[in-house]
Amino acid sequence: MRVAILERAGESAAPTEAEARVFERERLLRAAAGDDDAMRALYREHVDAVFRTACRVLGANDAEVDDVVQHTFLAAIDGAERFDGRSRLSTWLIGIATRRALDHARARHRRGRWSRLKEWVGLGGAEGTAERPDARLEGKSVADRALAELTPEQRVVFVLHQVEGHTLQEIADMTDTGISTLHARLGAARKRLDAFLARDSESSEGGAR
Amino acid sequence: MTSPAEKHPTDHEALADLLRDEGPHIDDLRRARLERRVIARTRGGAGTSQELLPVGGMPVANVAPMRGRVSSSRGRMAMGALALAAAALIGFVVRGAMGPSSDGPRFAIGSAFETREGTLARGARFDLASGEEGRLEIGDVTAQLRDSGALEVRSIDPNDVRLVLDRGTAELAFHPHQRGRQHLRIVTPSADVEVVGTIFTVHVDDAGTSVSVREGTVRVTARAGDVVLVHAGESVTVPRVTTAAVSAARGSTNVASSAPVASGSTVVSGATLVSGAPDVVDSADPTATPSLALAPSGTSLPAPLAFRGSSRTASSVTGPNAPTGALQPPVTPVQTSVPGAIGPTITSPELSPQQTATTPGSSASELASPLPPAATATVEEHPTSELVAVHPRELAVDSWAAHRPSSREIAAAWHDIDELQARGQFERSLALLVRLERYAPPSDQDEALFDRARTVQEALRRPRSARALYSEYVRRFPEGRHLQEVRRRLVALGAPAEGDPAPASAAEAPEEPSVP
Repeated sequence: MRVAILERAGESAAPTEAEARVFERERLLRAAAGDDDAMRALYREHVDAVFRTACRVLGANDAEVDDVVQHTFLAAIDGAERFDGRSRLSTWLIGIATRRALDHARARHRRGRWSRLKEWVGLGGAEGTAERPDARLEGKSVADRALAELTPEQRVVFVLHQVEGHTLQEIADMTDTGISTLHARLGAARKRLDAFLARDSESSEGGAR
Repeated sequence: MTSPAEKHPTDHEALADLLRDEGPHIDDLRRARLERRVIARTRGGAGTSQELLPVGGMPVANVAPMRGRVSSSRGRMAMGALALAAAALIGFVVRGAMGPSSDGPRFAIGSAFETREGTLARGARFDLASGEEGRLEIGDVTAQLRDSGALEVRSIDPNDVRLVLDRGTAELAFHPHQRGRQHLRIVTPSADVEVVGTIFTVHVDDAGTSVSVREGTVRVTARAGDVVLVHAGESVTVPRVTTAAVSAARGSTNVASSAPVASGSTVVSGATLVSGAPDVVDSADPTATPSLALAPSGTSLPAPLAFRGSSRTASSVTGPNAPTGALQPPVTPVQTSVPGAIGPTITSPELSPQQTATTPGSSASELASPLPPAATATVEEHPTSELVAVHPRELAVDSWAAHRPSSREIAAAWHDIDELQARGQFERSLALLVRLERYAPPSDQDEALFDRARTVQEALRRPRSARALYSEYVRRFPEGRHLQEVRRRLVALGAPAEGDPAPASAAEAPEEPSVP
């Protein structure tokens, strides 16, 4: 980002935060107007963060991750006029990605209820659910299995706050959720994770013996 | 559960650290593929909203006013009704308890007075009266039936859904979770519609079958064998098969009135559309069989026509007899032999020698073949439409030598390259990349050459060829956007980053043999 700004301005002085945001907005609008280079630059700068967000909400091997990434950028282009520059563009994009990924996760959660009923009445096995993005967790890393213990909403707040370092206020803006709710979800997520990690540690030690 | 070598976090703080250190990373090929898709969809500015439908989120009309009839046949109507009533009851109970679900094949039909839903069985047939609507869910397929639709469910296998639409309109959404392993086919009296992409509408009336695509790509095979790839925003009409003659011979040759009707009569709405000759095998779908793509021995084949309408108003294209629209000079017929085709040998005025091997998996050379002559055709052109003759490939890439490809055509090419690569058909994608390198604007040429080199290196594992292509990139695009990455790869491949002699025919040989 900084490099791009310096190249554009041809100056050696570091741009201010406000300048950076103005430039981000200009580039977004250029991309929305059909400027391929602006779109490529936008994509290349933010795709890693968007991809990471989608993976962490849906699961790294989820087939819908690509759709979420793609739709995030398309939605950003479609709604470019609505980006007012008050937040960083990266925050805005991660917010879109989060909401999109949550939509997918919730839809899967709804579908999963039917599978669980079938399993309960003995008509077949349950499929992966939103709480467990990949029901076949054998061979997955402990981090994947731990995140799968959380609900999509808990996963979002834990990953964005604890891993990615966003403030709760930023997450509240991204997800249209109250801060107190986020606090509660974060607390629940931490408890669940600690419990899971303790359990998992015991079982792996038991297995080793 | 945990492997011995795996770090085991003890609490959520340690887990967060671990996640930060080992976060998911997007690999280069995936990153580039997604970039192309995004660029293709945003190219030209506005117009992405159509693609922004939520995945699996086809707008489903409320199961509206209607009184549905569901039967497998007249004899089974009563039993079917009873079964449906029972299924509907179960459906209501389950839905009430669990909310809507897309698991298992299901249907819903209804009227202003009643709505019924239940589990769908293979062989079920829906005959809707005027004003009625119905909805089917089979795996990842959702079909909305209306306009007095008559639809039979041939297969409810979620990986191979087959529907027969005899009448009316079916709007379908198809978002496979396992691309390439799940198929949807709609059979109508005049065409087979095989889904490559996602949201489209099929309408059947006395005139024929209309297919309109809102999102993704659909392959339409006319009864006569023509293959058409219909992309988002496009529509195609395949006329109902009759005994009327359609002359599709080369030049001024007319076909006898007993010749089968081809899908040369095509209605186009506002976008590039290819009405393919029977020899054409869709590059995006290698499963097309020669028997589908070839007409019986001795028959004359329809002219390859493609028209790009500049307005949304339909343009119609009919047989080759009329005086207007002489698009290309005639061509001498060639003998063609395709294993497995109907009849071992056919005489086809369509085929150039390079095009004879139109079997699956052979299309790298096939797509790279020179532009074959097109047909003489009658064009009933709408005053506001612009018609351009192109080769009947799904992308009409061979005509790019004659006219500069539009941004839409280029976007479609990138889309098809993505499709091919997503299916693992890297060889076939190379031919399209070569065309982009030659005829696309410089920024796409840059991208195409880099993508070809990377595909050759990473997917096809041909380091020497890849090195030659990277060297060519350095030579052709000394200020290319991938220059830094190309130099890095050249060094990794053991070549000097610059000054490497370029391959003599790298651009001409997408089908180059494997180098161990």
